[in-house]
Order: sequence, then structure tokens, then C-alpha cells
Amino acid sequence: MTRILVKKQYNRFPPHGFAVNQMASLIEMLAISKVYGQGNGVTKALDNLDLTVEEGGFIALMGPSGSGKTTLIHIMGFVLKPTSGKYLFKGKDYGEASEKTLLENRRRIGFIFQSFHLLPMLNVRKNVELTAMISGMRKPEREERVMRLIEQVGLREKADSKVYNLSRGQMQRVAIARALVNNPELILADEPTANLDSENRENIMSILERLNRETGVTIILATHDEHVANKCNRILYLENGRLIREA
Amino acid sequence: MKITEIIKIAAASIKWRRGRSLIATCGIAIAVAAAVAIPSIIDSAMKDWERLVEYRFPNPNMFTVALGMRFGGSMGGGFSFYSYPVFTRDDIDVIRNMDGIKAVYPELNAVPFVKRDVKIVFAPLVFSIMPHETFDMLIPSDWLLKGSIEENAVILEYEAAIFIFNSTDIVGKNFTIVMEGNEIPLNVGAVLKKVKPPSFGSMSNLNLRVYIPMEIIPGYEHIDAFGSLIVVSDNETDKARDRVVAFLKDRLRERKVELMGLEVWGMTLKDEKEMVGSLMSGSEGILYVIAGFSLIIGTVVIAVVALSVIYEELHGITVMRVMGANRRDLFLYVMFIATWIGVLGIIIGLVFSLAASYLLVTAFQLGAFMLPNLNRVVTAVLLSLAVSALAGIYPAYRVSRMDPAMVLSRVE
Repeated sequence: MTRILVKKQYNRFPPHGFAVNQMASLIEMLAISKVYGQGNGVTKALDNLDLTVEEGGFIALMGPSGSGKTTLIHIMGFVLKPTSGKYLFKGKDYGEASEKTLLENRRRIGFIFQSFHLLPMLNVRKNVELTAMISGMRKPEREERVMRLIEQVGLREKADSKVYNLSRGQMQRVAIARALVNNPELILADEPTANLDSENRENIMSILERLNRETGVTIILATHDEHVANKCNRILYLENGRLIREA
Repeated sequence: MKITEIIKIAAASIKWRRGRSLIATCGIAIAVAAAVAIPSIIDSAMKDWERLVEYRFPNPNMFTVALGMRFGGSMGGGFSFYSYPVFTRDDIDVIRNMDGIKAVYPELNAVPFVKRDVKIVFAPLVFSIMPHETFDMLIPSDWLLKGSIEENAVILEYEAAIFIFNSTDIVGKNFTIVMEGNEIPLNVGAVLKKVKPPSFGSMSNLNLRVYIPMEIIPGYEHIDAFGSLIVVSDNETDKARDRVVAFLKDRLRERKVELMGLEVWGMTLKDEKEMVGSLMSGSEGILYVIAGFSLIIGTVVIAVVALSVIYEELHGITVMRVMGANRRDLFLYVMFIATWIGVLGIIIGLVFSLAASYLLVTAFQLGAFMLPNLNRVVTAVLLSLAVSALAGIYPAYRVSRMDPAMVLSRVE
């Protein structure tokens, strides 16, 4: 099937919500392996894994602990290099990329973590702004973006609150806003709802669903939660570092 | 990231963990204070002391002799640790006839400060008792002598003249003091000008000193022994001092005077300056030890604070790294935390040292307050900054080399 990719012309930091009609491969992984340790202590986290992720996808990675979900997310997010295999992001191979290239690519990706990883001494606004500061976005633009994202995740009233005063659900919403501030091409979420109660879990998932639907941003999340996975368009099951099933 | 943004986040981090930051800041502040304030206090005292020495030794060939450790003679009012009246008029006559000795003046230490009921109202007035002829010798050349010295003439210091007559044009004027019930008519022989006597603690009343001839003191003729002597020699002052001291030791031994473990001391201008110098260097040494110790404490605490930043902010730092912060950003972030603490410590230390030294100098009359020596301030500031930076280097290096995947796997 021919897929047509329509993109607006945008500068480095396009306004939130660029249009992606449908869908080229964002990620292609060919025979990716990742091995930790040496000698007798070798652990094979990923084993000859092949995977293609199309732009605009909303994908859940499921599997037991140690199945390789987090390692896979780290490789996709340029945090880890595969031991072997090809990793193509938008058609370009990053398997042998330098540290600097990986670093620059990480700025194209939004990360959401189970433990939020917010800076406690900064308020909501500054936490969200931090990512944009790192990537060098100009101040007027980033301030405007930050406030709009904070509004989108429903935390306008808390913009100047220190993050330690927030509930866990609110913290995760801050983390989502932070992940979006650079207008990423991919959002990687590692167990984003694991530390949340059911109400907050629903909130977070509805925000992610809406983001995917309205902006077309590709979201890949690792989860143990079947309920969460079922919200996604595609579910990949991992076991022992291999993709064993797809739904 | 921009440097200013990193600095702001580092400042927020310090504010966030203000308790530990304060401890580290105190370490640096103490070091700065030790290196700047206390020497400045001692400088104030020592400078005043040096001026006092100069004041009391207007003639470089002058030395004082006393029993036991003592500083100075009657020119500055002196402050003797021991000055039992053991030197007799005969001793003084022999010394006057020694080779190389030009003059000997006994000091009446028993009556250095006289309580009086004065007709002219000024009190307390300090009298230094001195024969006429000492003026030529003891008054520095820039002291202006006016008029002739008549009978019962006294010399007033500038401030005393202003205080008593509200004028310095008073040579030849008469006034009377009442001392020990006796009315003593005095005549102003001279006014000493351009003199800025030191204000060394309780000696600050030197400003109102009046020099009067010893002979007019009632009962002077009945005094047979003196506690200390002012001796003026030729250019070989050290040799003259040794000869006089040796002679007096022999005399006291012959007379079997009970010295109670004390010895005869002779002190020249050079001796006093050396003593002041050794006291200064000794105290400086102690202060540098204090400063060094404080800096070590400051360094360790800053390093601990910086390391605790790593562990407490591991989540945040990790995410900064994952989001694309480069090594330089994270290195600078931790370095700025360390140097912020150093800068705060330096500012607090300098403010504290200035305030403390001013209060101490004025409260204890340790002399005129002196601003800290600029070289010492610059050295302390640079050293403290270097220490802060040094304390931050290892934690900053650790952070900058952190493998984000490794840390994520540890903290998730």
C-alpha cells in the first residue's frame, strides 16, 4: 500500500501539532541484539529482534520483567547502542553512530518514565522548560510552548507550584508536557502508569491517546498492564529478548 | 544549555538543599573570616602598637630599663608588667657617667596617673613626669616648640591645649593645677603640634598628656628609688643597653635585692619592633592554620554537598542526560553548585569579617579600625573559589561521565 506523508514546512521547533497524514516507517530494527556483561555473566537482553514502527503509531510493548522492553525502549531512544544489528530511524542507520549523534537524536524524542524524574527544586513550568533549554529553544518561543502544554495536560493552575507538592498523577502529566516540549517525532514511555492509581492511569492514557490522535506523534510505551496496552493500536509481546507475538 | 540557565538551576538546587549548603557556606565563610578578619583585627592592633612604639621611642638611640618584662617607658605612659622601684639615684649617677651614655631619666612609676581636683576643669588628665631637659632629646623634630621654657613650664600636647584653652596660641600663659592638695602654678612652655598619638586601648588618654618637670612634683626629693629608667646612648644603642643591664644586675646582686624570679631587662626600639614583628608572625601562623583547617572543612562539605546533589537529583540529572544535555552542561551544573556555595561563603565571610573586626576593634579599643589588607582579601577570595571549584570537580566529573542507560536501570 502506498502511504503518503504530508508534512508542513517547519523550522527546528514547529508549533505544536504538525500534521502527519500517513505513514512511513519511523523505526526499522533489523536483527538487533543487546548483550550485557562479559564471560559467564553475559545476559542477552535482545536477541536478533526485527521490528518496524510506522509514523503515527501507538504501540504497547508487553512482556514479563527481563523480557527486554526497557532495553528496546532505550535503544529506540538512542540511550543505548545495540550490540549488533541495524537501527534505522527515519531511514538512517544509527547502529554505529557517535555519542554526539546519539545525544542530538535524543533531543528529537520525548521520554516519559515510571518515576517521573522531575527536578524537585524547580516548579512545574521550569521542569517542562528544562527540555527546551537543553535543546536550545529560544526563550520567547519556549515560554509560550511550555504554557500551552501545561494547559493541555490540565495543570495551568499549578504552573508555579513546586513539583513535590503535586500528586503522582499530576507529576506524570508534568512529565508528559516535558516530553512534548520539543515537539518530538517519537514519545517513549516506560511503564508510565505503573505508579498511578486507576483514575490517574485513565487520565494519563487518555492524554496519550489524544496526543497520538490529534498530533500524529508516534508513541511507544512499555507496560505490564493489559488494560493500558489495550488502549494502543498495536501490542507487541516480548519474551527473552524476542518478539513472540503481535496483536 | 546557556550558561545563565545552568547557573539559575544550580542556584535553585542550592536553595532546595539549603541546610547542607549553609553548612558548606559556613566552612568557607569561617575560612575567609579567619584569613581576612582576624589578621585585620591584629593588623589594627599591631599598627597601633607600632605607632605606640615609635611614639615612645622618638629617639632611636633611646632604651628603657626595668625589672621584669615590660613595654616602654614614660613617654607613652608605658605599661610595665613589673616595675618595682629598685634602681637608686646612685645607680643613675653611675650610668650617667658610663661611656656612650648621654642621659638617664628615671620614671616615677609610682605616680604615673594622678587623681586631682583641678581648677581648670579637665579630667582625667594624665601626667607624664619628666625633667625639662628631656624635651630637646625626646621631642621629634616635627613637633613644634614655641617660645622659651620658663620656670615651672610645661609642655602640652596639641589636644590638651585645645581641651584646656581652646587654642594652641598659649605659650607663656599660666594655669594652676591642684595635686595632692598642693596648688601648683604652671606656665605653658610649648605646645606639641602635628602629633597624632596612638589610641592603644586604655592608653587613648595620651591625647591629653601634659609633660611637666619632675622637680615641681611635691615630694620628688624624697624619692630614692625608681622602677624604670629611660636611657639615651650614642649610636651603639645595643652595646650601651647590654652594659647598663649588666651593671644593674651586678648592683642588685650586691645589694641582695629580692627579685622574685625577675631579671633586669633593657629594651631598645629595635627590640620592641622585633617583638611586635614576632608576635605578628606568630599570630599570623596560627591564623593561617585556622584558615587552612576551615578551608579543608569547607572543601569536604562542599564535596559532600555536590556528591549528595548527584544522588538526590539522580532522577533529574539522568533525565537531563537522556533528554540530550551534554557532558559540559552537567559538569558545569555541579561545578556551579560548588562555586555558588563558595561565592556565598566568601560574601558572608567578608561581610562577617568586616563587621566582626570593626566591632572587636572598637569595643576593645584595639586601635583605629583598619580595612583588611587588600592582598589578603584577594588571596582569601581566590583561594576559597579555587577550593570550591576543586571540591566540585570530582562530583562534576562523575555526573558528566554517567551512562544514562545505567542510571535509568538503577533508578527505575
